[in-house]
Amino acid sequence: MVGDDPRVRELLDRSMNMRVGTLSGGGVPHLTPLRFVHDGRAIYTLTRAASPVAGHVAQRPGVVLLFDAERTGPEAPVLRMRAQATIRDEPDLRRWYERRAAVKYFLRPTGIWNMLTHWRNLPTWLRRRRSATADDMMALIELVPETAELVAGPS
Amino acid sequence: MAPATRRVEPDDVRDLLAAPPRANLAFRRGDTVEAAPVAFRHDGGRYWVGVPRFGEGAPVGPGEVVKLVIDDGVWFFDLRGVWVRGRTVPAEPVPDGAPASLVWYEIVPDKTVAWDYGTLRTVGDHGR
Repeated sequence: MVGDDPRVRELLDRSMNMRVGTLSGGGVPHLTPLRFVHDGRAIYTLTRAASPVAGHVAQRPGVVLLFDAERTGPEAPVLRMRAQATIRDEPDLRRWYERRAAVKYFLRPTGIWNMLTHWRNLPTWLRRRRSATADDMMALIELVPETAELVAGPS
Repeated sequence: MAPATRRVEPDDVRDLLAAPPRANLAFRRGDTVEAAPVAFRHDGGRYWVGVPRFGEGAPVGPGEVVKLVIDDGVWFFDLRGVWVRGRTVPAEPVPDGAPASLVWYEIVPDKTVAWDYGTLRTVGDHGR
């Protein structure tokens, strides 16, 4: 991973969501919140293959990533990374991502509680999830950071 | 199979727009994309962003196409937010109470999308 600054690593480890900035083929800027996992070298995210992010990075792989470790406000630093994106289609890598994401987002007391308290939505969630998996409609994107900087929130 | 959606109207997340935990803006810088946290105000369906100054200017100019994202939540069914794509217009006057240290723009939307995963449903469940 870029840089050995412990603050960079801490922000990355503590963040649950990131915001991914991309440019469309026509040059229009986009920004999308996405979930992610990282392995110390690269960051991975899974999104619909038909999503703007997947389409954009196939044409323009240079992206910008924002992480705030879910701490916000003028005093909270934001980690901004520039990265190169690649769509990866290896089944083993996809399975690795799914396991890591399940541990990070679902197999925790708060994650389980969040599911239980929305039990009415679970059938729709399961149908949506099965549909995406069965039709292989998702794109796994690998993001290899090139630079990292801490920026202050607006004040 | 009927599709699922988590789309809502921006007015459904007005409490988030009134006090957003974060606001981030994407814009172009040459041939690359740039993104940064910004200050945000919302009033009467209008969107303003405050961008930090860099020297004498701001990283975003008037008339630029930008995308603003307001989002909140950690766990799946808590995720919600709004994005606004539009052009920047210098804010005159700046919103009440807006820090003068920032450069303020109103974003004139050409598209606005809101979502709330807590409302995840099959399309048609609630008549929309």
